[in-house]
Amino acid sequence: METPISKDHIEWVIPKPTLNDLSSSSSDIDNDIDLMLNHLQPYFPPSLLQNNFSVNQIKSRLAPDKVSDPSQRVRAAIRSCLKDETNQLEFVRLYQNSISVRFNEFFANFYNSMPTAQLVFLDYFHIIKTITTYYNSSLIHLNLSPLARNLCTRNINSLFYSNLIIRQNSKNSEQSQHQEDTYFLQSLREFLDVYVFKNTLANPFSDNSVNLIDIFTTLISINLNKDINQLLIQLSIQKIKSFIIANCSGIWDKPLLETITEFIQNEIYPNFSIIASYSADLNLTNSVNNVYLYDLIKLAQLELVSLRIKEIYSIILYYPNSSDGLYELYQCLSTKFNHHHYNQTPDQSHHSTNLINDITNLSNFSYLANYSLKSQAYQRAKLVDTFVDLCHKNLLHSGANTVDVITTYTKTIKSFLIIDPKGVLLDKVVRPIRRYLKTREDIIIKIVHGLLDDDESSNELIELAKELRRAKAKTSKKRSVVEDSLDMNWVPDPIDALPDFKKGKVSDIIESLISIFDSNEIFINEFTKLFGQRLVNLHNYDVTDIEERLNLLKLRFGKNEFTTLDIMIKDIKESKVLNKKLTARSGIQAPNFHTSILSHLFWPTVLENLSENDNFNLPPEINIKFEAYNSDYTSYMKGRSLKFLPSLGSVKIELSFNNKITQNFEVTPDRAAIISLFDDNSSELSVDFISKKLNMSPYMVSKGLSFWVKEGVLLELTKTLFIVNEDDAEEDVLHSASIPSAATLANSGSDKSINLKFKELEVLWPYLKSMLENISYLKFERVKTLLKLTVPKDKFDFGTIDDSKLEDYLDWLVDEEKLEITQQSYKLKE
Amino acid sequence: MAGGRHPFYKRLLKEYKSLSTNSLSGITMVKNDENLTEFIFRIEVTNHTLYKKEDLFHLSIIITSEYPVDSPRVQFVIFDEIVIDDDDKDSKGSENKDTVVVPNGVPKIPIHPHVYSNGHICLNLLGEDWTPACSIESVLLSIQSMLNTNDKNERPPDDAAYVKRAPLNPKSTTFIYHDDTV
Amino acid sequence: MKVKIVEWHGFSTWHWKLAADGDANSSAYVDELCGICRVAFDGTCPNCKYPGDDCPIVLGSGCTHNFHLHCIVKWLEQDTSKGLCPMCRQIFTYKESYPDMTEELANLKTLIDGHRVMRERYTEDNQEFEAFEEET
Repeated sequence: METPISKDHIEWVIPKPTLNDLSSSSSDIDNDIDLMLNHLQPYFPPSLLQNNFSVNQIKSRLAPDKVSDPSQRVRAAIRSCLKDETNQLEFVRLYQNSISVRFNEFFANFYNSMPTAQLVFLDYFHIIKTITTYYNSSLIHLNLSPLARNLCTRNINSLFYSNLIIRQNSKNSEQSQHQEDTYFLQSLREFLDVYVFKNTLANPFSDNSVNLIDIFTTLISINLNKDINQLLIQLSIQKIKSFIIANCSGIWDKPLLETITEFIQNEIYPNFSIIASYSADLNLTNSVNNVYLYDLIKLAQLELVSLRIKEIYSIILYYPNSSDGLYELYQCLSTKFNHHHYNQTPDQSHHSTNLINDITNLSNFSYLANYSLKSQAYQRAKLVDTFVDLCHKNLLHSGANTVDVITTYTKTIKSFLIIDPKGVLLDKVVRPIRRYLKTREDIIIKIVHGLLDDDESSNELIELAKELRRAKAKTSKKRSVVEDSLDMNWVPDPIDALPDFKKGKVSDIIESLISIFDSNEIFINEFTKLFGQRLVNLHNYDVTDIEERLNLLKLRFGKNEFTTLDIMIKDIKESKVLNKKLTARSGIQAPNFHTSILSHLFWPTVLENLSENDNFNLPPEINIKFEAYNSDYTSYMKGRSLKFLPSLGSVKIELSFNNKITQNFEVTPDRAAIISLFDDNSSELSVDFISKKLNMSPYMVSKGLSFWVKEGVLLELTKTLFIVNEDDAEEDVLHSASIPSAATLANSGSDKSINLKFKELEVLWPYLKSMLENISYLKFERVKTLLKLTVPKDKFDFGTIDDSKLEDYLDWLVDEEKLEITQQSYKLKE
Repeated sequence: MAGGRHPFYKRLLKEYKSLSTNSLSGITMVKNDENLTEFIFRIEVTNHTLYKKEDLFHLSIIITSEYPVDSPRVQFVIFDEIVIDDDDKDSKGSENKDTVVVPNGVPKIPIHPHVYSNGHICLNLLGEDWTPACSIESVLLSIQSMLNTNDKNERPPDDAAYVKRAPLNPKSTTFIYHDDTV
Repeated sequence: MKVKIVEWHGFSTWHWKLAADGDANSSAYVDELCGICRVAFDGTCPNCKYPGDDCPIVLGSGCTHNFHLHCIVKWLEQDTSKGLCPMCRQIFTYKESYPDMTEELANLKTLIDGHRVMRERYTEDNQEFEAFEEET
């Protein structure tokens, strides 16, 4: 590329010989020179050589200045002056000096006097056209040799270049020339935007005045094709970028590449290729043009990838609904910039790289600078970094929920295997998540439950359970990410096969989760704990389901890793057999006792939780049955005996009340033992009594009693006294007041402060108390009625007192702070 | 892990844990392998006329595959504690290293009428008297006591002859027990 | 109110009844260890997976020591055992509490018998030797 001639340059060569210097001599030849020089004067279009420009003036001088056809004499003079190539070249050099003075003067003057910002491209174009026409017409008659002619053209072009592209105006050229396009380039860009990309919104031109072919051939004739191409590419990228941002942001659930390709084919490429065909100096064939199309599409894909990188975290959370988006991301990242895809001749492939080279050479345009960096490696790295950053920001902090992290982890695995089936990127992105998960205390429990709970509604990690089931189908092939990355023959499924592709390809999520920990042991322990609990809660001895799950787990963790669980399951299975056998031996029909027999060293998670509190006395009936069972067992299983664990198991009981109503319950043994004490016993029992009788802690007794109260089976007379709720129907108070025992009376009788005046009424107090404990508020009338109903005649005869005496008694109780009265209702004082 | 384990690994583990937690006075576990079948102990004898403070006695105990119905292979060895530091890093014995200061001294085979100069020991417990009720600990204590009670500055009478023809493994030798009182 | 227990599903643990163990319930959780493998009797010897029937125990009758059947057999298979209890070095005999003679028990019996024969032969030889010595 020739160095543009600057003003400094020109001054530096002074004294510069111009054509005018030749005319001073007076030989024949001088005469000829004079004639020729006269003809060529004034070395610049005269119409432009006036001072004081204005926009309108430029337009009004539209008629191009031509140098008039030379006369015969002038032709002869030219011939004699420019006889041979040496003369011609010498002439061109001098001619050039003359022109450049004019040229630079003109543009200096032009930029100084014109409000450049107001000029549109066509204004510049008219000047260019005027100048080129002028010189073409003058040079045509000089009959220069190709070499000289070529030199001349190049010189003129470089003058254009220095004045249009490089020099803005002499005043501020120093600051601005690196940063921005010159006004000329800006106007050219605007022009291309309107005419090439049909940006009609901002069209300041009237179409009929524009001859595109003329404009482009003229611009190309002064060697501006490279600049046109650059602007064209810049504009295309801008268009594509805004199209992608407008049409692809946040849309991950449908394929978009086709839409983008259509947009480029229909909106960008047609005009792009026309201009490109003007500006490229070689003959462009269609197939080469298609290479430009391919490059534009590739550029669009780069833009799409940039957008997706920003969105990556949300895209992955949106999985599996974002599969389409992820798959297209994979496509974008795996198409290469090289052109193996096209079977081109070497020549063509040379062209196809031009665009990209053009782009990558444009690094002084800031918004294009990124492109040179946007190699695939860069984008892949950027994708990983961005995702990891976002993970740290959004997920991997102390407040995160472990289930969310596991969910994100599984989505990350599946998503990144779509983006990069070889698993290279996956390996990078999961590391921080794995490190984090390792620190979560509850992760084992979450994973174990996730694996074993098939209920979609309760299992937040249902994916894991599904995955475990899935393993059944492909038991033999344990595929890991690493193995996949070695599979060099892997070929992406066609785009239509997306749903299938997803399922078949996913690498082992479970294994990946398990491998977060160095040892399987913690998982095994957790499984053992969980299954142990399930086996204890199992009341039909049917271990089929548990065994089946265990077998699935064995496929993952190894067949021999579950010794303890194997023993536990065997215990339950053998218990079933033994119960059947021993029952058959005892000859009892429909026995109501059976037991699971545990190998006590192998049920740590169940048995270690038992304490002294779990030892209580069985109902005698059951105790007898157990002892009989135990002796049968001992005689059957020589050398062994059983120890009963009273608190474990479950009991079905049937309660029949006096009114013939029966109720069935399935309860824990402690509750069963407690209620058994009320069998055929209509008197109330105290917590103390039950606790002693059953050798059970008072706390457990109270808990069991309140269960039965809640069930409506017992009534709570006082905090420590309970009685069977015999009449289920209607008024609760009636039951509550059924004959208090001596114990009750003794308890309440401890209060010695009863006024002598009410001595005979003292007997009513316990009834009253239990009544109010059950119904908190009672009006006087109700109290009277209920007392009359509940207090037996032999204890107290209501006929002996009148209402006022009873009312006095109640009021006295209020004074004594045993009762309180609010809104005419009596209530126990707290 | 499970592959190379000794069939009585659980018993070995119990013995190992007990040896690591209840340290025997004058006996230090210097090295052991992951499978708990090879141990080296240092035995110190203090306040003794024959054995000096700077004498370092190392006992090698190798658990045979038939242990515990078969006795372990036990012999004194010349052992340099510093050398093993690195290759022992990952083994379970490494916990000893942090706390135990390797004493300065010269590794030796203790002089004793029942200890041959090649380290082989003639002790009933290691042969005929062995039962599964014995353990690594009981072997260590017997040998420590054997040294402690010794007052003879001599090798077994047949030392030279024995050492010349002795097999590598002392268990291949049928010893005639010289003197049960020592 | 009548309380009828329709069905009681209980849980129990099984334990070997050891020689010194009169009342199973009182000492059931005291885990005595087999002197050979140092694992609880209610657990298994090193070669067994399932405790109980698969890995029975034998109770010493000459002494009070008990072992996993497999462990004591392994010991008695050694000539060096001389048929003695590993714990107390008394001649090992056991309580024949099992009704059926399993192959393993038969094996144990054979070993014990074998050691007895060896001992008897040894004593006879010694007697002969002593008699011979006296003669000379």
